[in-house]
Amino acid sequence: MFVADVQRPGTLYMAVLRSRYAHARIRGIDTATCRAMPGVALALTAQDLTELAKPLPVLRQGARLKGRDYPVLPADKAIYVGQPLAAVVATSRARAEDALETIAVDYEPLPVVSSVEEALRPGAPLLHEAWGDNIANGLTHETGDVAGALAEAAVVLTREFRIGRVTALPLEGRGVVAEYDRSTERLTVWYSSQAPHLFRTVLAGVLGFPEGRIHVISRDVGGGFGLKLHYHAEEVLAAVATLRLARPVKWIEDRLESFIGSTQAREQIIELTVGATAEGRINAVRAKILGDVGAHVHTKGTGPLGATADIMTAGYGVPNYAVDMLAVVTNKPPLGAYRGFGAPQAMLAMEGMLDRVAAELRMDPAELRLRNLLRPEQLPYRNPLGSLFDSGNYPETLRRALRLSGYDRWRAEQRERREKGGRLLGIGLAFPVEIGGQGPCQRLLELQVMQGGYETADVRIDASGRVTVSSGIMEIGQGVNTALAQICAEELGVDVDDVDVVLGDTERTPYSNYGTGASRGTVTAGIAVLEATRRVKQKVAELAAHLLEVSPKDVEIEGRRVSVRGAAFRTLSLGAVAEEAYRGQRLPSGMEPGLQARFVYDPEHYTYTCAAHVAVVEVDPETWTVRPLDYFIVHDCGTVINPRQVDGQLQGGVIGGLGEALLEELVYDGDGQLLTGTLMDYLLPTVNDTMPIAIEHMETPSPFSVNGTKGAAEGGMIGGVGAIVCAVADAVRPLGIDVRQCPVSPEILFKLAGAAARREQR
Amino acid sequence: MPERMQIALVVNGESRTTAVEPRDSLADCLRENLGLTGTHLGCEHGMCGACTIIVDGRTARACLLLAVEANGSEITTVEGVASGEALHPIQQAFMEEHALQCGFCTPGFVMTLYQLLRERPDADEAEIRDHLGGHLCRCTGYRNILVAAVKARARLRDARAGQPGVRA
Amino acid sequence: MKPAPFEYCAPTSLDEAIDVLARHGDAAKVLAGGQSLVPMLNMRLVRPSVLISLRHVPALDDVAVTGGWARIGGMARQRAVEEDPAVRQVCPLLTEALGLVAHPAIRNQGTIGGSVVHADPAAEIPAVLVALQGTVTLVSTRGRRTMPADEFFRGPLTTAAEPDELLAEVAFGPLCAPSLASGWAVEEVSRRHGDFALAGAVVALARDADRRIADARIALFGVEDRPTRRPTAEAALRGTRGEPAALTDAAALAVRDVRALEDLHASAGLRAQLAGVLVRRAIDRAYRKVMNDA
Repeated sequence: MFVADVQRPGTLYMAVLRSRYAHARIRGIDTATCRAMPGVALALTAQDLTELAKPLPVLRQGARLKGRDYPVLPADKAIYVGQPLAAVVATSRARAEDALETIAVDYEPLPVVSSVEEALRPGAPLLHEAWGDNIANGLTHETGDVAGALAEAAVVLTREFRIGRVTALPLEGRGVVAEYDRSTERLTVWYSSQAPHLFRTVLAGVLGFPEGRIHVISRDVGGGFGLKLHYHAEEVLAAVATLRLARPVKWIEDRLESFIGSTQAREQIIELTVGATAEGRINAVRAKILGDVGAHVHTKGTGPLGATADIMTAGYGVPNYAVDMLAVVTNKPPLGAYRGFGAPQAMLAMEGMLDRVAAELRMDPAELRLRNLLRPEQLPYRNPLGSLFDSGNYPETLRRALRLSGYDRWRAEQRERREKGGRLLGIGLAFPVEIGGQGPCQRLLELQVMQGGYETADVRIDASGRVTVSSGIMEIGQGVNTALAQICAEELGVDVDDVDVVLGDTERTPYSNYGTGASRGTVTAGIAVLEATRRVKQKVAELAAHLLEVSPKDVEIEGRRVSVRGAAFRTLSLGAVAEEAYRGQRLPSGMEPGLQARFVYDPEHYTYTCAAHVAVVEVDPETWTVRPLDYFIVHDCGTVINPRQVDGQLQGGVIGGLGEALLEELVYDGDGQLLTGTLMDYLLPTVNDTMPIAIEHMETPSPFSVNGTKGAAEGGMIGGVGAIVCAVADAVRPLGIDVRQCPVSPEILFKLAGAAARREQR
Repeated sequence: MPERMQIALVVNGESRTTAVEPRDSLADCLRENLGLTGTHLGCEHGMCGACTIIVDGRTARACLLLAVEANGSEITTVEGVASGEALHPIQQAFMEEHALQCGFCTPGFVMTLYQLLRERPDADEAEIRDHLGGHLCRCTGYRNILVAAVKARARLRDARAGQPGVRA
Repeated sequence: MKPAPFEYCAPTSLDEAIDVLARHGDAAKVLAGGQSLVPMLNMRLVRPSVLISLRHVPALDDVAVTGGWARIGGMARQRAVEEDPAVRQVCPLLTEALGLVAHPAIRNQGTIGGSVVHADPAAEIPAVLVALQGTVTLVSTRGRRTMPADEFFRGPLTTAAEPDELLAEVAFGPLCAPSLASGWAVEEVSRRHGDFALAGAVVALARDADRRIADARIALFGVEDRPTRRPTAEAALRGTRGEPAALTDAAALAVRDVRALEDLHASAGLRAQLAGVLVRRAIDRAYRKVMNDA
């Protein structure tokens, strides 16, 4: 049941008025006509909210971070096209939209800042006057001596990379049904979310409504990809409306809204300077990162940029690293999390530079990487920003990928084609090192993430002998519910079909302060489930032993039966044991009634998954169309719980990366107007844009997770963007075309080809 | 405000009547008026395929059909594909091949395949891709969907050939 | 994304339909297959006060193939025409082009007439109509008129149809005289299969018993602001035996002086380049076909 499927008696429907201007003072909003329209129950503006809703919190902090919260509805000015200005609640969505059109907004347009370059110009218009500039955050860090190392390098290259702006675009958009029951004074919210518990806490704070009387239900969620970790205005507005009207209020984001009303992602300019010895050892990297964070900082702060800064040197042991990051505001929708967070951007730049260094040294790009990847004995490895990579055999992972892909054959074919002419072949490599198992509460605090990364699981066996697992993690299609059932079943010795997993309901699951994201679910919730199951299993053994009058170490559990080892006829069903537990009359002394256990897992460390991606593409130099031909991944996420699910995540991630590499872009004009705001202009990959993807698994368990699991949800995307862009760059390099951006459309290649031809003529 | 119009439809074999405004889409009519929420809205401009249903024997985007235009039509939605408790071979294949993750786009894929494999039981992979090309999925990367489609085609062939235990 | 409110009527005869249209004029929109119109309604880009559905007008979806002509009623569904063996027989170019239009579910509902009247410069059907010297027949209370396709398309999304006129029929002419052998090809480049083309070319060739090119039709779509014939290039091919140089020269002529569109997805420069490449590829393929044709 997706949120749009929730049908409650008496439902009213909400529509949101959004700013038409990217930057404008709001002199007034006149809703008089609107309120008188047939079927309209309520209209809300910022004025109405002053008593009813506090601003939404940014769940990040930092000395240089500007913006600790953002208003539900702005009172004085609009700062991006799509920003909610008012809401209308009516008897149908169509009527609500009719009513929206009668709202008169008195805008005073202001000069628009449509790019980071414009935002940083002296005298640029300010989005937030109190700031004095348009810089929302910054980070400066150096490990080692970059200038010194570059001075000694045999090769020093500097290049700028541009990553386009995209939108997560889960097929199910955002949505909420909020229902206030006056008789019980309880607020129920059906909400398509990756983190229902945290939403409940945030909503309670924003509304000043007791958290214990809010019930949040996320049943089926039609994809999240990071977007549904963010708290937007509409969920608060729906709650305010239902509190006022005491009727269910439903808001379902439509596709046009999703482009301008939901957080957006990526958009960075990365300038990398890389130094290498004559033998191809990268001895220094300097990164300048400029991120366009949109009009204001949102739930996840400028997190993606910090992540880019952190992971830039990835799995390459670079001893000297300096980074300068600036997060800049512009009159566009705010930036948020999207699968991969900050890593795809870093990959695109770093892998792109490695290819250029290899070209400069006339070395094979794979060979260059093998010379720089961390060796297994170097792990655990603390990277320049202090992140601890737990385990992995990076060179072996790459070697296997080269074998799997038939790399040498592809290079041979590339050479042949270059001699013959015709369609160009390109091979791209990427080695994503993917943070997972987010994360240790203390480390998150150090990283200024104001969210605890623990995860809790409850495991309960009932009198029917069935097991119920519940956790604060969310199922959004990735299959964590199955993984949790598998972990519990395997530990307990029952069938996976004997385990029910309950997620997504704040009244039936333990609290989570993070939810599903950052490739953490299987690790954190999985280990919590494992440990809770062990405790329940121990109790089953002790109670059964007591009832069977043997020692606990003499009983074994299998197939919902507890039996004496070596005397299988002396047996009790799991259900019978549970029944005794709940009746509590025949327990060993010191044992509490009940047969359930809770475990709260606060990881000590993150986990780090690695993978080697090889992408093969074909470029038609007459039409500049790019056709992906083949793709190979060797993937190491430690202990694999469900290989099919991991493969599914990789396949989906790579195709998402392909979309970003070749097709998808939110294009803004100088007035901050979105030019690609429908699915006709914002292009997602279809089945006919894909290529075969071959996947092989390696398992280097994490020393930091008790069952050796590491996260595996974002790696396909993290590697996919970089590998495919690098493949295109590789294909056209002999023509003097330098591809350093995404998406790489035919138009981009055409322009670059023209520039290369003109350079050659001179 | 235009008056509501009575329409009569046959949906999944059942006669239904309901009142709609002229501007109501068939998708909204099915979902809101008739409670058949299996047809999903992913874009409301015909580009994502999630709302695909069968109208008078042809696939159609329910978001691009006005409910009043479907008056008198025979409609099959995803709710009409399974036979009671037994999943249709296409649905079964999707489950077995992990061809759905979040499941939001799935009904559209199922309906297109359902109709394609009825009209062209021997559709080859190129034809299957051609028909599925109008559907967007953000989760799976499409590979498992193709595998499931090929599996379903084989199972449906077996069912027609009278293999025991397989229902068409 | 719900439309602004409108009245709906579904006339049951052509006379009734043109009558209602005459009464409402600009305030009305005609609903054919809805695949172009309904998205615009949903986005509130158009807000008619009356929608006139042609669904129940009899015979408006008739398809008649006679004397080498395919006469297709305005409401004929694209998919039905695509699957029509008689159409394939006499107008295989149209059949091939239809396979490139959007996706099957869209073609199930979308109509030939709707595509023609919508006149998207990147649409395939109008280009085939122009290439085959087809005609468009419009009806209104003021009477019935037929005009050549290249007079009908005036610009992007702009045609010669008056607000009170309905498209009753389009007629696709034969590729060539029945005594000649024919070859044809449609080539296009789009960002994804099924999207509107960034550029496209339609070519039909006919050869005589002497293996000389007797007739050539070349049209571009997605390049200029409407589908256009390339008569200079066509003339250059006529009489030749299709030597490589002749084909290359004709392709170059076809895009000389082309006034390419510029938009979000492609610059005028890229479109012009694509046009040249696609025309050459379409000529090559049509040539191979016509020379192999018995």
